[in-house]
Amino acid sequence: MHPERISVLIVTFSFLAAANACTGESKPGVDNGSVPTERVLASRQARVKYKSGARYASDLAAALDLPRDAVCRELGRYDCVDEVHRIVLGGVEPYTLGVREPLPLIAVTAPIAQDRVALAACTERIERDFAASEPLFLTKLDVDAPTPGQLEEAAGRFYDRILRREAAPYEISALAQFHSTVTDESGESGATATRDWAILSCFMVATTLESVFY
Amino acid sequence: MNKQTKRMVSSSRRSFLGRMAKLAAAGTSISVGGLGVLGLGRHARAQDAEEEALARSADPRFLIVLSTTGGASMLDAMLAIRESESANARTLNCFPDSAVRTVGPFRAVDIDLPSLGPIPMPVKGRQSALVEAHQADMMVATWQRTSVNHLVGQRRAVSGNSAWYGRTLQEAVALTYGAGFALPNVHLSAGTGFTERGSDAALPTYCYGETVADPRLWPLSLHGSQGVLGAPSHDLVKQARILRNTRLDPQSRFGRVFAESPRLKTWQHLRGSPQQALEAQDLITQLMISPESAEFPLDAYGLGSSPDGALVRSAFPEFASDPLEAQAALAFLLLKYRLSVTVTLGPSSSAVINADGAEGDEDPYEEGMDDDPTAGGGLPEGSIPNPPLAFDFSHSEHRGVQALMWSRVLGVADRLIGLLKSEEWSNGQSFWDRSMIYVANDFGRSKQRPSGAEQFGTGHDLNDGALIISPLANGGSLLGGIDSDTGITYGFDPSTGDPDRGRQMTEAEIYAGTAQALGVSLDGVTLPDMRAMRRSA
Repeated sequence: MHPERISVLIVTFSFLAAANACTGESKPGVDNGSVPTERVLASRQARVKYKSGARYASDLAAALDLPRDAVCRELGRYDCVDEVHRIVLGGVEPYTLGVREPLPLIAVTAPIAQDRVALAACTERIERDFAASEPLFLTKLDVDAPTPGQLEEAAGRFYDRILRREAAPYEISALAQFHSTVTDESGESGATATRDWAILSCFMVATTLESVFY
Repeated sequence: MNKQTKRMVSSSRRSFLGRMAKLAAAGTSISVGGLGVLGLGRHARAQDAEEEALARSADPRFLIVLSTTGGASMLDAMLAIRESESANARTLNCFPDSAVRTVGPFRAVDIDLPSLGPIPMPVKGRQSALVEAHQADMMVATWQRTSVNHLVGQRRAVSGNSAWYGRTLQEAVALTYGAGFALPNVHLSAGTGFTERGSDAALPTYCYGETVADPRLWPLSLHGSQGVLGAPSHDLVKQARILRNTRLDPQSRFGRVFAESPRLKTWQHLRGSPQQALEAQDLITQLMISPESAEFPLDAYGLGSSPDGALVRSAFPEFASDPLEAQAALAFLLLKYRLSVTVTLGPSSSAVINADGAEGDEDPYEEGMDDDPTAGGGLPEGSIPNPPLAFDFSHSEHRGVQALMWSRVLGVADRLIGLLKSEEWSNGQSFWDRSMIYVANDFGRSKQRPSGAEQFGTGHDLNDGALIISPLANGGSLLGGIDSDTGITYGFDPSTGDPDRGRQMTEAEIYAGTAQALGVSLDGVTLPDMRAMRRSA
């Protein structure tokens, strides 16, 4: 067979294989900022890997511009990922524990530990932002009375820094609107509400499936 | 009415059932759609099976697997042989008559040794008081193992060499009684075959063991925000989780593309109702065995020690330096708070060094004291409560290691039993009344010694005996026996328990007898009725 025809066949098969591996095309939504509008093809294989604690902490430290050892320390003493939640978050410790392979199943407590790591890191980051002259996330935010536009800008930065992508309109909208939830639920206002909103916005993005798996 | 079968009608039972219903509503109970093929079938409707599983949770039995990691020798404990009893006394691992006491059908070794082999530390093996205290609940059943590989032997000790679809005893107990418990099967030690997952992948996920790497720190993984300084209120965290779980993730491109991923589905399930159920019970406090201290500055982080912290620390005072004591303390709390139906613990292969010695009332390393072993100095007794390799240090020195480690394991069992006896389950019945400690062993040790040697090394041996301590077992009995000239054990009649010199019990038989004593119905496989291993029919 002529090499050119082989190339054509390879391309054709590749296309068919790719098409065959994807089903369940979603329907387009309405772009009102509350639902996604892009069409996606659901993966039939759907193979994702869990980002183990060590990798997750490194990524989070880079995203939040924190020293690695400032990401999360339980009781101010024990590194969350290297010590406390090491095995639960998919790590190994062959020398004293004899755990040579990651747990075969996701531990029941893993999502809680993951939340703890992210919450500690985000709290540390936002505390630093509040104290810094050049904050990382709250760059254009009037912390005492943020406007919707300022909240949206900050929301976009969380996605940009943590997931390394542009946020979708519905994502920006959802995070910005969460500020109202904070004020309504807690009765907080001003800088306190902005602080909690920022911590939890960071937390939400940092614990999305997209952040925890790859 | 037999106290094991008393109906529980007290308020605590109602409370337990109420809690169980909440757990079920929260989704921590099993999805029982597949129970028909799991050996718990007979139900046309999944709902019936779920109701039955939850009903069994109201009347559970508790299994504590206490491992003798490395390979214990029954000849150095309940099956000890006196030198005067053996025709081969000089070359068989047997003891001076004065060191062996008879306690009911069992033997107990009380012996003082000058060193732990190459480790210059005196050893006092003390078994008789512990055996006397618990002989009514103790049962030794002899068996012939099938592997002298540590990991394989450990795995088969809890799976009966795949006696019931490869399910471990812990998984079998969790399957039978765990539906209404938040963490039915907890592995407090890691990295051994005793805590490996069984080979039946079809069980509900809650049956598989939850690994606890460090019992002192693990409670910190039971709440998402408590103890995180400066974090927003937990109510706000919950709101954030709701937004994340219901909008951000399901609508994200990643979430939609990989929506069918089993891993993502598991993760999403776990961070839903199971997470809420764990956090709602304030387990971060209830299971915190450490007290306020510089090492654990709990107050500063809005945390506190368990209400039962003082109780377990009193029973296991070395919890901070000895992982086995920390495991035992947490094991009790997991059972007491009705979170688990089975816990697995045991000494690790890593050495435990206690710089204070056994008593801790004086500094053993006073200035000027010659503690250099190479210069004839020694370590105080108790300096090394756990030698490297645990029981397997017997390769270097058998007798001292077995004496030390048997005392260690029996001592932990004794204190756990004491705590469980002091805790009421319901209606006057204690937790111990429905518990079993299965002392799980890798395999036995070789029976020979160099002629007349008091210090010698041993290898691995298939011939062994299993120790079970439980009011549910046929306590106060030795099932089978031992040939005092060879040190080889022989079996027993499964129905009557009569010794049978022509028989050796299999791993599957002992697995069956253990499971049956715990009320586990071994549906779907043909295993003998090991009536001799149960206290009641």
